Amino acid sequence: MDDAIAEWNDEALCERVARKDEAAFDVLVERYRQRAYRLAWSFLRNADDARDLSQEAFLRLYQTAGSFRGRARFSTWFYRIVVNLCLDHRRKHRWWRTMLMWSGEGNDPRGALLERQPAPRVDPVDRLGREQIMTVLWKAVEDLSPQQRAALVLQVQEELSTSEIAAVLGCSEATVRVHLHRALASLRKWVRDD
Amino acid sequence: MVQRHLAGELVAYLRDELSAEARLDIHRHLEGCPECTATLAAYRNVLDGLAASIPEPPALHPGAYWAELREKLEARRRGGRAWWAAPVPLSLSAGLAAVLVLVTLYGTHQIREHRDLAALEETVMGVRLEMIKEAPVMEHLDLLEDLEIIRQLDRVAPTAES
Repeated sequence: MDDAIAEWNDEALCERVARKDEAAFDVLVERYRQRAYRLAWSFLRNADDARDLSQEAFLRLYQTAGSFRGRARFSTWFYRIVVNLCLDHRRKHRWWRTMLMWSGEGNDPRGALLERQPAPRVDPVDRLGREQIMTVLWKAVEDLSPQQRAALVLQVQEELSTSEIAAVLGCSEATVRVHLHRALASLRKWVRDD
Repeated sequence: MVQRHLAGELVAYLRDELSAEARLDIHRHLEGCPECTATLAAYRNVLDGLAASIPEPPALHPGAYWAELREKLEARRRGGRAWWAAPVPLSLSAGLAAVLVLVTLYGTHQIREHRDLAALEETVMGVRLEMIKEAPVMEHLDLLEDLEIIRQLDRVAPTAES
């Protein structure tokens, strides 16, 4: 790999990918491979699906790099591809998860940890250690709506600003704040109010 | 007057995305609203807790990942399509074409036969209708409205007209 091209910024590399520059594509894949995989996994919670989906995102990048106009950061544009693929994937597989729920296999996404826990009004914080609370908290994130979950993951995990999250999700900043507010309101019951 | 509690504004406050003036407004509200103050603290706890315990996915093998990606990219360049759009092998295509031709020919033959039969039936029916028209009984159908006559059909004498 050309050392010089490895120093280029994402936007310049993307422009080269639009001209089918393989070396530029390789650099972008190496830079975003782990991030794309982790983001996909945070949605899908399945390593194989996350790997396939992140690879599909790179294939889309290769095919549509010419449509990146440089108005936003490359990372925002690329994350939008990944998130849209994740949301589509979840939408397509919704019927299967519904079947699991009907069969009783998917009724308690929080797993054995919560099987014998009382209802939240009894303050689960008193019964669980801090580490367990954090585990429960991330499990509870999986129960959020796709948009709320996306907004929260992009903020907490990817540390995107509100405007960047809005660009990724294709909505206004005010809508992003509403998603975050509702997500936090749902998760609030799992932490102690200090 | 019922005080409106903060919602999305709290998130903007937490993320320090407000102007100085807006931030001051929120601060004043929080000083007089224990509920919003508690909500803000809870949101901060949730965000801190999530950030401190981000789950990591299972490790990804870089070599295998690259190899798969290269394969998929090559397939895409060759014009690889989804399985349902994949080109059907030549022999299968030929077989399907032959079946289609046979079905079309057989169907056409059947339709032609049906048409011939229909024409024949129409001719026969037409002939019968002509015969019926000529039957003397047709001229006396009105007699059948009289039940008395029907009862004595076997004793009704032919008239001069028949």
